[in-house]
Amino acid sequence: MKKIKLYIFSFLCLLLFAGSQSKPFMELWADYRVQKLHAPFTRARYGDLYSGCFLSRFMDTSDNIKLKEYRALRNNIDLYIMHDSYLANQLKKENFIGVDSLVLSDLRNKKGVYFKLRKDKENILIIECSERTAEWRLGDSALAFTKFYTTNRLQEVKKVKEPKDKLIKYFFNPFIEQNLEFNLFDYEVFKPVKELKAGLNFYWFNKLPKDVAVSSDKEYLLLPETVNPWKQESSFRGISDNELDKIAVQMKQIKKHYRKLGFKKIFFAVVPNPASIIDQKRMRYNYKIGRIIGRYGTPDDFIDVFKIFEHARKRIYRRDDSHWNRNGIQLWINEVNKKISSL
Amino acid sequence: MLFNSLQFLVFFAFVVSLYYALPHRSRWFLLLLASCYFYMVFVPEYVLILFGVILIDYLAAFLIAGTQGFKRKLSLGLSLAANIGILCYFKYYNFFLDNISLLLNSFHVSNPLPYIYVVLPIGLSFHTFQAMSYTIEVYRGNQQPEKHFGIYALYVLFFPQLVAGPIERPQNLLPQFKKEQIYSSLNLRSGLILMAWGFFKKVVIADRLAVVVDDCYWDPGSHSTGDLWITVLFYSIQIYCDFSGYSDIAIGAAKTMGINLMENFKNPYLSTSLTEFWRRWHISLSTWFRDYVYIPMGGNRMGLKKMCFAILLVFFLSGLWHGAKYTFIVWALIHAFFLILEHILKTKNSDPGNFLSRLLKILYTLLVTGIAWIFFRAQNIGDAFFIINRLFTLNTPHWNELAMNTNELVFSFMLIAVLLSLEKPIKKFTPKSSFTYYSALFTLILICYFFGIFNSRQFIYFQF
Repeated sequence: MKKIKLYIFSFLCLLLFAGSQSKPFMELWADYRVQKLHAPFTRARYGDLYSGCFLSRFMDTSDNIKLKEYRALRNNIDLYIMHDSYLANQLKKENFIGVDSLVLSDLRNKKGVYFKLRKDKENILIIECSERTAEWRLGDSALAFTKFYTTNRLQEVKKVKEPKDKLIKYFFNPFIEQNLEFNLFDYEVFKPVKELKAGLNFYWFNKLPKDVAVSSDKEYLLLPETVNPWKQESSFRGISDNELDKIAVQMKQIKKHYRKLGFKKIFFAVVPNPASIIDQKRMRYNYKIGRIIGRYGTPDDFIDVFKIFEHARKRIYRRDDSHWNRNGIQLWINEVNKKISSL
Repeated sequence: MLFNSLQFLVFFAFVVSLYYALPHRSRWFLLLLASCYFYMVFVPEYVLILFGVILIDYLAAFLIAGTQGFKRKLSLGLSLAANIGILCYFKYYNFFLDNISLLLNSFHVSNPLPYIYVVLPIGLSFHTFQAMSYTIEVYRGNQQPEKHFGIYALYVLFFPQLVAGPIERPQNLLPQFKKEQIYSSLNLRSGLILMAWGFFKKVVIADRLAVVVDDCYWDPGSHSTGDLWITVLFYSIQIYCDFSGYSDIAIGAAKTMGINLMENFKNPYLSTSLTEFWRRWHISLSTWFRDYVYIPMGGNRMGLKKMCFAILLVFFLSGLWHGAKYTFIVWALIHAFFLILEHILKTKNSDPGNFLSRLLKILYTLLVTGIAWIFFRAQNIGDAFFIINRLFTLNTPHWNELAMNTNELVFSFMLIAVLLSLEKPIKKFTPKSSFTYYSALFTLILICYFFGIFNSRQFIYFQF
């Protein structure tokens, strides 16, 4: 009997271990948890930064504002938006004035998206990225190009071979620690314990987990890389003019490329880091967005919300997340609508 | 695989439960497979190097045992050369080239030899020394060659002590693999308590103090005398908790499977002399050097000059064992110097003394080891001298710019007090009653959870 118990226990451990090693299993399990068990993980239920620190004082549950919707005024415009996490799962065509169809393409999706431009439409493209990722989203033209597929490009992507060390990666998954944490402890029932630990360390020792930073006014959680002046993503890193020139040149190439593909107008939208707006005086701000626009030379090509955000009276970023809230998105959509109507 | 990871905890639960479920004849295979996996998590390919060395030593042992005279010596020599060769290639080749380049540059000649850019196999010095002790013991006739290749491979690869010791002797470990280990709840309980204590030392104390230590050693110039004194103390505690924490987890993990590993630390900071310190610190390495280097050179029976030379040589090798850096060599030579000094003075004053004199002696040991640790931890010798200079300079007015607030500083000192008072009782703790066992275990787990720093920081001795 004892041996049977031991076999069962070791089998369960093996199942947990092997499951946590497997990427496909983890994807299936995560979907199952969200959709069938209605037990979404902390990161999905609360902000991504909250789930990195469990400090309840920063929890932000106020983001239930509905985005404005407009009647479907036909204006013969098809709007394409290449976006990052700031706009993921947020937009509908009705949010934009006079747009016949809205096509979203997530820059983070490595498999790419296929679509075909309609020649009878005015095709407008917005390439959106956050300030912290601007260097490589906009600076590395190859990355931006490969995210936008014609039929041929899609086939090229499909041909990409799996890495040779796939087997090694299966047995030695570098994300096993996170996966085990997810499988064992990422449940609502553990939240109070995690909050207690976080509170003890924060209030007594002023200690935060390495995945988060706190704004100077102690009101917001921030991504640590956006406030660390030694990191590329930082709002406080000294950026040389040469670096900005490089980005501007690449952006011009991107624009040229998409113009050739048939887009009438290409806009760039760089969403300011939360630190750039709410914690600008923390250190010496590098004014990256303004300087990129300056170097690029055609401000009309930008959907620039920096000043609007600076003067916004409402809260535009989430306190527990590295992204904006619906107020921020609405302000951004307003600017897009202004641009579209001015065409 | 790091001990302080969820991955290890699940892996360990799986291995131990299956170990007791399987019949004795299959257990060696489970442990060998588990050990290979454990090692391969770091760099999978390096397990091949390890198996290469295992095969050489396995065959060499038979040659040593089956031959006499020159052939016997040659077999041992070849086996040692293979082990030391691999150690030198990975660990000392670039260091050697650095020195050659420096020498050649002084004659305006460039170094023609290329550097190698490879990751050092984790725990290389540990399993190499363990493998060497096997062939040496066979050569000395204290150990019969192990016929079962799998059991011998397990001797080198046994996962609890594979990457940071204790460096075991074949006489202790091999018979335990062969003996059928019957499940004993006492073994399991004391093993788990020891593991929990090891985790406490690692994640609660060592990794907490590491934040201050790393910050100070990164930029010692920006810290005051007071800060540096605290850092010196903290590093002494950090390295002890880090390394002895690892040893406790290793010994505890093996104990849960009924296997007893040798004790590696015995409260070294309560030693009243450097000589005593080395009987209590990293015992498995110091006895290795004692048995295989110091005693063959003549040991304590030699004249003073020869003995001094032997001590210097042993500590020089010990410094090199830790890494290919001059800082390690200086650290080791400081210890050698004080050991020699103690040997000379011992003849004149061997009185153990009263409480006060004992306390003063402990402080002396702490001071010497603390100062020596500066060389061990500093990025280079220049930094080490800078820190020592500032330690004895009272002209830096600012106070507490450490990377922790006052609450945490006080808490850290409390942890050190807890460590000093509980270290001995915990090791002697035999959890016979379920209540005391579960209370002790859950208290340690809760403290580790609430006050542990979980940043996947490697154990310091992994790099050796």
